[in-house]
Amino acid sequence: MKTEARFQDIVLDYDEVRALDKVSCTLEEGKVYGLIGRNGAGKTSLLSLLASYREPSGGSLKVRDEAPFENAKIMKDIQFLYTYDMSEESETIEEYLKEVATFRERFDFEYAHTLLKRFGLNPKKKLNKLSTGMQSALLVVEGLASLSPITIFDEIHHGMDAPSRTTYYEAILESQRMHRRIIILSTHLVSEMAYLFDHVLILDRGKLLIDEPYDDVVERGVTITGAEKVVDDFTQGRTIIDTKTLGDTKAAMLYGSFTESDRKKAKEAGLQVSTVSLQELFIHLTKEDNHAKAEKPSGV
Amino acid sequence: MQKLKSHPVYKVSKDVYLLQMLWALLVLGAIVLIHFLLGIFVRDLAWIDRSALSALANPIQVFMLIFGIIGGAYFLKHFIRHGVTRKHCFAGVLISGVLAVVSLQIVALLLTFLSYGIEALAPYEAGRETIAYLGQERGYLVSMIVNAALTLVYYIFGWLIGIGFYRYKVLRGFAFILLAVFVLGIIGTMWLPESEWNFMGISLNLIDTSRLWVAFLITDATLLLGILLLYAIYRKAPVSPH
Repeated sequence: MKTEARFQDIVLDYDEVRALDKVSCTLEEGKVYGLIGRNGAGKTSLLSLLASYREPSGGSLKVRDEAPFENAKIMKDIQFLYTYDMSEESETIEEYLKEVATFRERFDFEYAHTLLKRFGLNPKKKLNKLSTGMQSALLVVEGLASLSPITIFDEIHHGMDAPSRTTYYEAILESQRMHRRIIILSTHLVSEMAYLFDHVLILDRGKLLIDEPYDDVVERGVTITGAEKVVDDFTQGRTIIDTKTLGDTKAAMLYGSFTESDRKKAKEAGLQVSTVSLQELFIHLTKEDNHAKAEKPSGV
Repeated sequence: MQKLKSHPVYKVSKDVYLLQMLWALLVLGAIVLIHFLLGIFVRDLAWIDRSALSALANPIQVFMLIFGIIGGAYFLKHFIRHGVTRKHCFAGVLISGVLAVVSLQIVALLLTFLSYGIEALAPYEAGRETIAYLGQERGYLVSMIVNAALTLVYYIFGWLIGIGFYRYKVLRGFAFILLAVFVLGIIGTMWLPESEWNFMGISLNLIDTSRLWVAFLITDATLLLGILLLYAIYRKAPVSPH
């Protein structure tokens, strides 16, 4: 049976605070999901529900058509990885992975050793002797070698240096080619990791702003640059999420449907059209006054 | 057997039991050494006149109480991370506690016999006094059973403190300390001779526990209530990853 996770109007309340507000989305096997949001947006809360760390306050969450909370069959197939304090862990990497393998029936030791080598981790080294970056790398090894049908990496790159992060990204792509599953990457490093995403989920203040394939999201964002008056005329009626003016020149970042005909018109008006990165879209869409615009962009 | 070994309850109980026994043997090893040295150098101390089984009864109880407090939330977080349900985690940690309590009683009994063996071979005088539960001397088996039941009560209420603090934070968690102090005080007092039934200045001459089976029944009922309360808190306890 294919693995699919379905969130339907999920609500999560912490006492008086609503952490998730009617979130609905479906995660499908074989895709890498980028879960993006500012601090406190509700990313970890959403992932905690999927990993059965807590129960939703409302709505329905189903994995393979079953509620995952306290469901042994489902919980063993979901792996939630996040950095934690390993200073008290005196076991070696090898011992740690052996322990993980007792709970993860698909664990591939050969693959784990290949990854350890790639990250330059010595299996004989104790966990409490690892640097923060090495601990993160170990969690990547754990997550990928466990081959769990749903693997969640929550801000796992903390402390990793640039080469290690590159190894991590390469390993994600390679692993997904070999063992198709649902991989969720919760991150702030949008610019670095965007190319890994098949699908983008942007959470803001507990609401799901964007739930679309990566290509569709980035296609929606364009920057129009040109003479201020011409830009103003051209962007009238469109969803503007950011503007910058320098002298007579203005750049307006638009979000919404932008067709080939629009592109042609812009060119004819002497305007420059450039693409917008996911990072820029994320920054501007999660601004206080752009929240509503992201939910209802023009022409969509 | 393979099916049993792959069951999460088996894995949890095995992991926790091994950790418990490792810690317990380290702690008890130090206590036995102190007991042995005091036996040689300081004779005038009631504790060293006790047999190992009796002398270790309280340290084992305190050890299990502390282990319960520390492990209360740690194991929940640890095993949930490995995809184990709360139900299986709870069962595994409970089973490991029972096994550890029984094992530690056996270890204490073996140490008692070992001390007698050393006494026969070396100039060492082993303690022989036992705890007089309900004011009467009891044999090894009864002492071990009572010790084990009392130790389990300590373990469960330690666990309650740990999970109470984790789930309900400091202020409400503090209520679990009060509950544990109250229950452990009452239960401990109940096993004393009738003349000493006094808990915090209040006489407990309400129930006739002079009979062994009545005291044992009350201890077991307390244990059961503690386990039920613990499970009620545990079964849906939210876990915070950070």
